[in-house]
Amino acid sequence: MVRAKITRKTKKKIEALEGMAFAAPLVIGLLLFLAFPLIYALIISFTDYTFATANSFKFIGFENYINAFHDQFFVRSLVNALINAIGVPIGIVLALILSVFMTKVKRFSSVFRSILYIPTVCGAVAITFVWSWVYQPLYGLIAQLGQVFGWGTINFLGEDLFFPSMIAMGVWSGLGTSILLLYASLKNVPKALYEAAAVDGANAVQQFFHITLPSVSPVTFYILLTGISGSFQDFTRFQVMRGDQITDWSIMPVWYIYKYTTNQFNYEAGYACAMGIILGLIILALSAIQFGVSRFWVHYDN
Amino acid sequence: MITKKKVRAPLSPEIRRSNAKKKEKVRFVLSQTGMYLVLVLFALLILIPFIFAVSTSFTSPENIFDFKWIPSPVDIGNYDKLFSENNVWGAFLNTFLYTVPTTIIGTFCSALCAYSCARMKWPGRRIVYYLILATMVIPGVITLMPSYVLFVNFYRWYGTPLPIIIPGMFGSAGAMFFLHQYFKTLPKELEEAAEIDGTGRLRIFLTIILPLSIPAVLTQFILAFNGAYNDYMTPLLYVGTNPDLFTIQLLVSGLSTSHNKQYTLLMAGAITALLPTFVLYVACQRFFVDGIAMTGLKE
Repeated sequence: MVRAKITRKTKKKIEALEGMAFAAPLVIGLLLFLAFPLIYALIISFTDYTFATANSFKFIGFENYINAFHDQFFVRSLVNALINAIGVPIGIVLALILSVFMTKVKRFSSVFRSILYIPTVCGAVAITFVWSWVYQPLYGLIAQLGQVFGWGTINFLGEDLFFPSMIAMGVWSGLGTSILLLYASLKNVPKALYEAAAVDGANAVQQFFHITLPSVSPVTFYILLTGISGSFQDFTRFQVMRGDQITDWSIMPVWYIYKYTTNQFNYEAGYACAMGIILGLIILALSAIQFGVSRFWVHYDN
Repeated sequence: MITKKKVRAPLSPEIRRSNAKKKEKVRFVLSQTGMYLVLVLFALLILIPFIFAVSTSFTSPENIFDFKWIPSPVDIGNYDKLFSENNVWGAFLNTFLYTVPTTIIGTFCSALCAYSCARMKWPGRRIVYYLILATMVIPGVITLMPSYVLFVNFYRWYGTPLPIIIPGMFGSAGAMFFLHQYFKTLPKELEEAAEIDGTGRLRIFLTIILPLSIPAVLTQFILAFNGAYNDYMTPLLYVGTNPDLFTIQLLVSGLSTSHNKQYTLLMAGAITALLPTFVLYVACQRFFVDGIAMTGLKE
């Protein structure tokens, strides 16, 4: 009796130790490469630390944070990020329409989904190259179409049209993921709901707004949340599209922060950390607002 | 109105019903055609830029002003130039060396942690699980600069691919979350028998749980590999100045500045860079589709 009790106890202890050991690698990784940099960022964002002069490490209070809001490039990059985020709702509406169609067509819906997902598996560098060629004002794809229709030369990647062009490209490459998510969610809506609504005389439009939309609202919310966060942190396609030449009308926040790891901006690490924290807090605040608003349109009950 | 109704009245119920059916059928065919038209249009919108890029990559630079969808003559000069003037195979080798081991080990660590949180009892596992989930909320940009400083000044890994390789080996919160959901669905009896036999937990995980979860684990591996392969920023930060350590993404992105935007060459580079993951996608489509679809549903 006593022995059995002890072995059961030690067994439990062993299991507890094993359990912690199994979780340890991921936890250690997150501590080393997430928590540590996070705390470090918080500290050096209050100093004048730069790479070039490693010995300077003076606490300067909120100076970096105040400077960031007077930094025209940084403020402009935030505005640009906000403009870039316009693509997210556009993408969601398109993806919603297309995925509803995919659930309604008789055949080949998986073929369409596979095709629309292709841009997602291709790297941002390749996609950006392809689109820089599509947008090329004289011989690009759209310019060639333009010749047929008699448009003039359009400078898609110039100052005026840069963001509309980048947004179109972003929607194009993001559609596939949203459609996969929405389609999976649409397939989960019980058929009986539609049948009951049809019996009550609800037409297709009413069914869409009263059954389909509420049912996919959690997934839509997820796409919106991750999409906005992602579009605020867009880097590769902007940096590659502009060949790393920053101008106020094309700058994006992460790109600008990245520039501080180069000698172009004197390796001002403390200042760059402050900008990173500001951007991160803005994204978190936007997510919090969306969570607040989500109560009014996201339905979690089945 | 009344006369009209009277004219129609003599129609027998059967004919009326068949008329309604016909109308229904016409509406059905029309709506199907409309939906197919929209879907085909969008499929073409996705495909045409790629076809345009492929055609361009097989056009000689002199003929680019006279573009044809099917290049004549088909010219492989761009690929020739790409592979002879750049160490493309070296960049591919680097990319696979940086991404494959770290994704395999990382996926394993994520799975191990997910198993521990989902099916083992130890004090604090709930808190640890939710803390790990909470890290997914933190925007990556916050740690961009401090990580860079730490890798350069603290770990002293600058100029080596270690910052690209090492962090991924510990696993990721996202993969852990996904696999946690999956392990939860497996029946409890699986382990009970083995536990009575006195089999250790690691053994149980490796010989019972993991083999049963191959599709889920493979999905996470493929998605992680795809992400690591296409990553541009991390390699740019840490090996961006040393061409010998370039990944394929860095090599291809470099074509743009060094060759003054010669689009035929750029397209050859883009197609070369996207081909491996494209082939992987075509071969393992189910894993991509299931992986993405499930992350959303579980949210």
